[in-house]
Amino acid sequence: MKTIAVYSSKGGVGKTATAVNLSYAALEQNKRILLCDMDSQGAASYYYRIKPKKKFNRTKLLKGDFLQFIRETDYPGLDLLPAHFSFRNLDLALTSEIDQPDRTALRKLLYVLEDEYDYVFLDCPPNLTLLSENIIVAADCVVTPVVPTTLSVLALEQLLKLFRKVACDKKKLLAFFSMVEKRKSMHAGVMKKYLKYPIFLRQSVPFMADIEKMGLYRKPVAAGPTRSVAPQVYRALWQEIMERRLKG
Amino acid sequence: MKQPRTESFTTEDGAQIPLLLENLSKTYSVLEETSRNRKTRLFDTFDWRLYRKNLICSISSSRFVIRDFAGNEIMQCRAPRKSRIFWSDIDDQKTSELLKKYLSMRALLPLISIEGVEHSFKIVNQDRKTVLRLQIEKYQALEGDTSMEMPVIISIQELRGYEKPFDQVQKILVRDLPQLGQYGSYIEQAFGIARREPLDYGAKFQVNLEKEATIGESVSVLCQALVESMAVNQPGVERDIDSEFLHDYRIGIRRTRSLLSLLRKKLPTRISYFEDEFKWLGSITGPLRDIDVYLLKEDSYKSLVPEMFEPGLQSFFDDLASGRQQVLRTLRTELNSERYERLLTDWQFFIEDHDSELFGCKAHCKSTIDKIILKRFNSFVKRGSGITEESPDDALHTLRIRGKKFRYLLEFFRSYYAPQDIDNFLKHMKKLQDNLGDFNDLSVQIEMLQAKLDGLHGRNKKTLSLAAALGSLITRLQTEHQKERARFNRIFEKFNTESNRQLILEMISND
Repeated sequence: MKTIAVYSSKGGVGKTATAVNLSYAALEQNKRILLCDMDSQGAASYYYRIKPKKKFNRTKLLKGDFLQFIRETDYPGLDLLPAHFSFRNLDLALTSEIDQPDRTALRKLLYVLEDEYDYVFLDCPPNLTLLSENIIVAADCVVTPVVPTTLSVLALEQLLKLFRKVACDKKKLLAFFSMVEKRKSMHAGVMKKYLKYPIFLRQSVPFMADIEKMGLYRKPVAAGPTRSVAPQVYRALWQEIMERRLKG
Repeated sequence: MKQPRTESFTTEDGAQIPLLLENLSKTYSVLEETSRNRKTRLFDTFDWRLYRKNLICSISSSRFVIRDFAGNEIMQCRAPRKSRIFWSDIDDQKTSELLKKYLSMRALLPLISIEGVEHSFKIVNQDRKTVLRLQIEKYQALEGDTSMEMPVIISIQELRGYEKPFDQVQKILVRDLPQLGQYGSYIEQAFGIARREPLDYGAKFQVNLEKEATIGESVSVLCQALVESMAVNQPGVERDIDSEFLHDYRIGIRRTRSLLSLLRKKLPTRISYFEDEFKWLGSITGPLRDIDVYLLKEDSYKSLVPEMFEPGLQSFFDDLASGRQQVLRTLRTELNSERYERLLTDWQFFIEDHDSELFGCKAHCKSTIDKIILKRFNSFVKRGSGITEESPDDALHTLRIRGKKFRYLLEFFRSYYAPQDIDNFLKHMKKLQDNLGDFNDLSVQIEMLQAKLDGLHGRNKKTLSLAAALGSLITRLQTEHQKERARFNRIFEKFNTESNRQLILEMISND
């Protein structure tokens, strides 16, 4: 089992769209997939039309009692652990339930899924906290969408700093340009400057109406009603991530 | 993690389906997803090797699927485009390995077709999220121009995390419909119109004889069963489906010859004509079987020689394979000859017609067989005990033939005795027979390979490489041959016990 965290400390960069579509691209290769919606806003759960069961909450998750709350999406082989409103305080809970900050708590929790899934995707909330440190430690690969703007690049630099803090191998961090609008000269300029760094994947994701419409159809783009290049973009992105970090 | 549940129900009454869907629609949103025509062909070997392991093999939409009787999918892969499928025709390694284990040299043959429609529905909640899958399958079995409606199958499939809808719909279905039970028994119904029915053929010989029957009556029943086993295998021999048809056909010949020889003194002199003719039948079928035996040993022989000799050995198998067609053609001609036809007609009259001399053999069969069993057993044990480490190989070969005859004897007249006694005794005898059989096979192989080696002429590269390979193979086989020879006395000693003797005595004294 490999864990892929889709993470950025900045909001609105396309994390959830990435997690939803990458998990679907992985499913298309006949793999067993789990998508964990760690963001209390529950956007990934919404896209897959899944609501959490009434008895599910943060405490159940942190105690490892979460397998019964995993739900199957409409796509056989792709399961989802839905977000819960109580996840907004996951950081506090991580700190209060243990004496010392434990960066490995999430990794330990995910261990029970080892034989059940080939890939586990984490759709992460935008913050820089103990939860972020847990996510970095637990993941085999951290995928971070970067909108080609100065602020977004700044968020990437902060993330690299966090990697240094938790002494994690920087190689497992992969960035890609998201919501790219080629006609914007700022986007073109930022991409030209940064694409040469190995941390960046070759594949970028353009800004597309079809991706925005996911909220309307509540389906991954590849399963949606419109013909679009978006599914190919996510398939190519997944392929590159696998080649860079997950093969072998 | 708990696996999502599936459950299937059936109904003979197709009219119930719309009512059922209407009933479900009162509580749920039921949406039809797909409706697909399906044509499935069921496969098994001629002797039902998969069915005997509670497995069902089918091809549908170019997928080759193996299921257990409960309906669980064991293996699935791309189907080969063939109507006769050997394990080696399957691309997928895991499936091919599983088939190799179960089928060995036998081919899978299409037995019956099932055709119909599969409707898939989803039951969705207020968010239009699928919470349960439902499938309705309507099939008919087809055999030539005949068809037969099969019961409709209704299956529900739980989605992980959505237990409630499954429980609720299951409750409705349990109330209204019987459960499907075993998928295997559903499939068996399709054979209601098929020419074949499950387990209608097996290599094991089993005939029930009347305890009061005369020798003539019993021999008639036994020979009819034997000729029937030859008749069902003959088309497979002529169409060259797989090598086992000829093997089983030849067993029929051998058993017939053995029965006639065991009871020769009690049967009319006319049998000497049939003995000669069945010997002839053995001789015309022998050359093809010999080739098949070597071709079946290809992998095993290659594993016995160093890798460098493998190409040399390959030319040996290539020659065998190319010569095989001619030998098969010759056999087909013989099996369509007047002599063969005359033998079958004469034999049929001899064993079936009550005017035949056979029915003049009025001696009580069972008491005669009791004596023959005891006499044969004593003679077998005496002969075996006389074999020392210095005895010639021929002594073991003769013992093997006598042992085989004795086994056939017990199998022919099995119904006279307690089956567990016979099985128990045969189990004890098996190890000894395996040893003698392996020893004989190795002798024959070494002799044949040596003759091939001696007959090689010329000094070209192919000949030299074949000679080297054969030389290496013969050396390995000789080592195995000596090992089997060395094991004989120990194995015989374990067989030749007082308890085995008692087993035979008790068996024939218990009526």
